[in-house]
Amino acid sequence: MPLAQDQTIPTAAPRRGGARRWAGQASTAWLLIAPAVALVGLFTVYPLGNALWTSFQSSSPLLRATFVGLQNYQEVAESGYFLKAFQVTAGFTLVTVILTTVMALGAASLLRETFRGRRLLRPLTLLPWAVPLVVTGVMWRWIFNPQWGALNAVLYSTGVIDKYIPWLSDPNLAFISVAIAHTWSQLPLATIFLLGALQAVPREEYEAASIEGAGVLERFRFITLPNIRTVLVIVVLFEVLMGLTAYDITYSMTAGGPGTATSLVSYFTWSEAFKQLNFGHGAALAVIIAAVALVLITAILRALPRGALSEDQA
Amino acid sequence: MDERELYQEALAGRLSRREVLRRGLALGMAYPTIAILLAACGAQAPGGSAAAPGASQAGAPPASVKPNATQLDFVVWSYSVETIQANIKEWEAQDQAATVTLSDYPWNAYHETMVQRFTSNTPTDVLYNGGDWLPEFAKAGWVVPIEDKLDFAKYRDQIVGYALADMTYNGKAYGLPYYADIVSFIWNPTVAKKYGVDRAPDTWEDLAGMATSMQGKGLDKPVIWEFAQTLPTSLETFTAMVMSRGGELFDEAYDPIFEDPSSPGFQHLEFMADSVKKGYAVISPHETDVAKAMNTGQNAFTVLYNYNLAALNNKGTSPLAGQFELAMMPGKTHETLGFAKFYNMTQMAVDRGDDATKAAARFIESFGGAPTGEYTVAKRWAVEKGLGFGQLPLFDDADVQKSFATWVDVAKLKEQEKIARAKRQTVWTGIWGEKMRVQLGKALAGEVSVADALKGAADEARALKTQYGA
Repeated sequence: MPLAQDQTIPTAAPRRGGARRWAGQASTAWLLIAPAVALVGLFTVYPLGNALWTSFQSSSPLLRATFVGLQNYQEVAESGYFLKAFQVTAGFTLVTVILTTVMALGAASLLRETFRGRRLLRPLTLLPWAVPLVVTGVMWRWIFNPQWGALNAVLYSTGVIDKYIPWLSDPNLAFISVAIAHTWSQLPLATIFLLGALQAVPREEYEAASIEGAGVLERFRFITLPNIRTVLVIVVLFEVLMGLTAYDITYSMTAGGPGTATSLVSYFTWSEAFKQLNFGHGAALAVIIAAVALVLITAILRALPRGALSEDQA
Repeated sequence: MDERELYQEALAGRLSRREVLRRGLALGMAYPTIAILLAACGAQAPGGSAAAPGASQAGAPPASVKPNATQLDFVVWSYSVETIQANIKEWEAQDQAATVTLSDYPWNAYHETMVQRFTSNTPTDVLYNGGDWLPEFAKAGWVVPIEDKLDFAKYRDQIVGYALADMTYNGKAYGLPYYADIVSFIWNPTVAKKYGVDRAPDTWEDLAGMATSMQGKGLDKPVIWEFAQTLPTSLETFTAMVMSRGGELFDEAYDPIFEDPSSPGFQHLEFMADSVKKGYAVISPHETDVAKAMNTGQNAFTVLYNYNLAALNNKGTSPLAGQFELAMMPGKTHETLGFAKFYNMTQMAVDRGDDATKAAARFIESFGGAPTGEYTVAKRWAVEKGLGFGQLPLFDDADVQKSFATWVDVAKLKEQEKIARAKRQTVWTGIWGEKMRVQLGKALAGEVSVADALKGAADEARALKTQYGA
């Protein structure tokens, strides 16, 4: 929220006569932000610090804790499970971010247009958002079930296939199936974000471009894209984080299988810490995921125009 | 209970509409989803009326009118929660000195939820526990032996061998059975006969031959295996099948014995991987999915916890009810895995002092024992839900026999239970199970060879043994 003109935050000591006043203002400022700082410290800084400290320990309720330096990081990095889970997670994130962004952009473009039934279609688009992720997972598991799933039944009864397809028991198909389910659950929010951005693009710019003879692709590249870039980056950023931390839908649908085809790092972290009681490994994995996310966030934010997220930007 | 459990319980008709509404709102579910669940579930859960007898409820004073009552925190996994609540109400009506608060969590996340409860010192006095987790919970100092807290001697001889073994760690018994069951070979003779098979297989090789023949006659997947790397049950069914070949996964010193290609463990994984590769078997990630698939008539053979047979032959929920039968586990010895899930007291209860310890002991004895001479709660689970039991006197109970006879050949069940045994477990075998299931999954999916998968699992076992000791 922009500050009103009479609201100021002391940023430097006044030149003369006001040192005491400035100190008083600074104290008041610190006092005012202290509760927020305390809460952030309690719920963010402390757990983060604790996780970091645990990642350097051999920590398990069954063994005495000892300092092991970077050994936990080395062990999880060398573990075959981690490398596989990391590859699957990276692939899953890439596929779902692309699918979600492209489909959301398409859906938003469609919903921006005026057509009969638009008023009904807009709220309907939000429906997947209202379904809890675990329920989404169970629902798609039932749709894709190889023996009694709805998809095979429809395809078979309409003559598209002559034999049931093992959607969830074939490694490649299972990966695609969970990616589709994840995309379905993510689509509404991304669509709403992009719809908002698209609606803010001035119609006059399109009309002028059309007069100048610009085609659909040129209008998209030179008018739409620059205007929605900030929101697009935010959508991509959000979807990257959702992909990296995906858990509910995947494990409701395939439980990470078949084999390790849909095993994600998020489950591996959970399993190491709480199923295998190796808190040190779990903490090391959590730190690695946080670091990877941080790198990605920084890289993606660099794509934003300078000052795009600051309050004084028009 | 999480959203998935709520969804499953509601669709299975185990919850009343009021309960679905209450829990849905508590979970923060969206109104449209709750509305769908309300439409899907019955107005009254099938077990609901029986599970909440009015007489006992009327006699149960609410917690607020029990002066100085000891409050117990009881933690369970989400199965038939309304029945548990009804049992608690009855107990509270009888025991004027204690009240119980129930918390339930989904089965496939139960172990890690309990680990978090214990490490964060969340009040927990009594819990459901299982043999695969007992050694690590006991070693961590989270649970205590029950035999020090009540007169266990009078129950010891009344508990079936595999159940007692599953509840015992370092020579001490830690609980009284909530239920005890076996892993069973289940088949559909009607479907099998349609495709030219008129008997249950005697060995696994026999099953392979039958399945191939049925496949040739048009049944695409005669066999269905329940398997998921996240599901503890998956390793237990695999162990049961290894036992049926006369084998074990570990020797008495807890060294792995499944790497040798001639070992039953190796042979059986090779058989299962082959069944998937050749296409006559399919894998399904949960027992409820297997039950649905068996009800399509597209699969004829499976291996599940025995209580699933009660569900399969339940006319209220199963379209092909009455067609499913228990057969002896195929294999050289026909043995199988027997196990117990039990009521266990925590160290936290003991630390609270005498009143809490005694109340927890009374509660456990009432639920898993027979303080009045009858195993009331265990019998109720057996009669109403078809759960197996570890209390030997219930085998001769007329009501239990009558109820079981509606869904299983009781003589065959007794024959199979007689040769069931518990698996070997130590502090790290539960942790190892997580790693073993991943390896099993990779072998079944054809990602790695059976030899590589089992070598990987054996290496993990040896590393854990070095780390934790036997």
